[in-house]
Amino acid sequence: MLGAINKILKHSAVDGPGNRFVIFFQGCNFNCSYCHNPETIQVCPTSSSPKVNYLSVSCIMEQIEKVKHFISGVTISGGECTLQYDFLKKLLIECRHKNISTFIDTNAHLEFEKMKELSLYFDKAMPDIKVFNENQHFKLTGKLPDLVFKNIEFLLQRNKVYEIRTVIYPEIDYKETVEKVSSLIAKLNKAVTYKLIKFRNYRAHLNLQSPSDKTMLELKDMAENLGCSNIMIT
Amino acid sequence: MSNILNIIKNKQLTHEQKVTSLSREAENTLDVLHLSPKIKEFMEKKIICDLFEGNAPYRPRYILPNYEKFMNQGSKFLKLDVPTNLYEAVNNLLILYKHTPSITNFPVFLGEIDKLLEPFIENEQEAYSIIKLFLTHIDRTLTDSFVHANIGPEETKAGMLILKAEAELVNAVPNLTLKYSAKTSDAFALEAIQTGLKAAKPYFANHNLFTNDFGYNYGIASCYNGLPTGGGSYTLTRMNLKNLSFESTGIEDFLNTILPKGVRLMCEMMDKRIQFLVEESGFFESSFLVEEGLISKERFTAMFGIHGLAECVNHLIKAENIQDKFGHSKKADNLGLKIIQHLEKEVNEHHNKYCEVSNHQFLLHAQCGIGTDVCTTPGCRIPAGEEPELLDQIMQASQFQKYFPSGVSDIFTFDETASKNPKYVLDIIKGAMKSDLRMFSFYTKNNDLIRITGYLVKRSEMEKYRNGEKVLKDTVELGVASSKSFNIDKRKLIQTNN
Repeated sequence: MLGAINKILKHSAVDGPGNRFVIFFQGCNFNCSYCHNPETIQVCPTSSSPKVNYLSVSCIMEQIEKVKHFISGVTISGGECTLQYDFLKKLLIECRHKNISTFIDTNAHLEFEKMKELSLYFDKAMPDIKVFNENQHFKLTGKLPDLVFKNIEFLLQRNKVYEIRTVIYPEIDYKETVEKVSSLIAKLNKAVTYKLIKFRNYRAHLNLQSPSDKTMLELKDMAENLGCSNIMIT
Repeated sequence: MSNILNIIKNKQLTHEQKVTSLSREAENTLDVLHLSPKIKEFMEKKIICDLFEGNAPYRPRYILPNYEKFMNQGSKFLKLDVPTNLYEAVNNLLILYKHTPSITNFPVFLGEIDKLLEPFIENEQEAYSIIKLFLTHIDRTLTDSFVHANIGPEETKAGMLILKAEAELVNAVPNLTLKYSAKTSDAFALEAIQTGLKAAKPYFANHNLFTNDFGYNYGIASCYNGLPTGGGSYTLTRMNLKNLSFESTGIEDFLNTILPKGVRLMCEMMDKRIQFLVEESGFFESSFLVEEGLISKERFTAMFGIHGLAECVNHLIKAENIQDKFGHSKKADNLGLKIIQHLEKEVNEHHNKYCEVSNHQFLLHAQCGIGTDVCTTPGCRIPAGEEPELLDQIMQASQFQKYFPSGVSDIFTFDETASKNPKYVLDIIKGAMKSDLRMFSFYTKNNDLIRITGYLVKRSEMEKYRNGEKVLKDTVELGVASSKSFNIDKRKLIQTNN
């Protein structure tokens, strides 16, 4: 079994706590207009993408072994890693056998039963919540948010969330989103960090400005007032 | 004579810097070592270098007094009683520092200052103020970046206060090392990392490796030199492996003929320097440090330095493309290792009767370079700008660092986001230590205080010097020259924000 892998980083300071080995899977079921890894969205149906490597779990584990003394663990990102479900599960199980901690970046838009099963094999998830409003979510990603919230609620209850991220994108009012997410965190697991990420214009065709510091601080204050104590603005 | 007059008239030198320079001129009018013509030939070819130690050594190059003994007994000569509180402890140390010579005429080792001060810490707020004054006093009066203090490995209140003070003060002096081991708490290490990202210090020293080489009584002095406490090093000389390789006809000739010849000649030079110092200078007969048991001849060794390994290897295998060069190719790295192993064998075969503490052998040292070096990388480092990916660089360096007990280091440059995830840096350091890296040094790229090749200098001070202004630290001039010679600004930046 091979996985479609866009990139591997042997060290990263921004993909979870400590230094982490990061694997970026190719392919995503969302199509966010502000994605800062747009090259990871598509998967060539005939496996002809020149920048994608098809690797086995053992090949990846070999690379992890070489640097295991330098890392707190492995983060599996993308793209959307849960799309390659069987491969991901095998990789997570291998890491567990070697006592290597695993975090997954995910949009949490995975069938609920599969998410339940997968959660047995990873240590923590770092899910994104794009936006609460159905119409806005569909407009932004091409999907509805119900499954995302159902999965995240489940993961929070099982203490399987390290942090939740929301990119604060211009043209959308995030008050409702931040309110819903903060309340969920405050109710189910106060230790979880809520990361509010300022949109940055990585794609030249988007004629958009980053939100102001004032906007970001207002959202942070709201989250704190709702009982969410670990808010980070980046 | 014109040199002396130039020193006297030099408006860019402080009074103290003039006095030091004049004393060197006086010493260098002598010719008492009687070096052989072959040694002089290799010196003229810039294969062997005495690092301007002087023609008539009158004190050991590096002295590491037993400060613990001093604090327990006071000093008859200095009329100092055993300290009873933090003020007296700090005062006693500052006084002894002023009477501890070295090649720079400043002390190169200040002791394990956390352990020395810990017994006197009562009120932490007051202690913090005193420690800040202590460190500021050191920075403003021991005006040389080779002045070096140690802390660790265990966390102490004093150690934490010292780290916090260093992060606040951001002074170039003293240089600082944290002896790091499994006994170092993560909290202490993380505090050291946060200080390091602001102030380019401390080094993280592999305490296990050093204790294997020296036992527990060792200190890290000057640049990054591991040496016995209660003693030190008589001398440090260095061999330019690049220039030595130009004497050879190929790899086998280099390993079997030229390298042994170079080692023999440099050992001969070192023997002469040590002999003069021990038998004729009168240092060990007259120094109160010896009389009061703070140092003894039996605890001195000597350092056989090398530099330019990268260029030596690249020359011998005629590597031109980066993928074939030292640091990037197994063939090149394996040759580098073979050279160091041959070197170690040759140096270990030499016997000096005055180096009792190191089994009468000289200790290998990876010399950090001087500003006049041309296209010659310090020690066994990979040239700045050619470094491979971070973890590959650490694992490559680890293969070499274990051969250099008396000093070696590699320097890593992080961007500003590392300070938001100091555990990232700690994970890397832990991995480095497990890989047998001896010394891990780092700083944040755009900070004012940076590590040059082993010592610390402020960019703003170097700018002042370039503009013809006076500067307090004599090492600023060295920093200006070395920054250029070693392409310090081309050092690979470890970007943490992908």
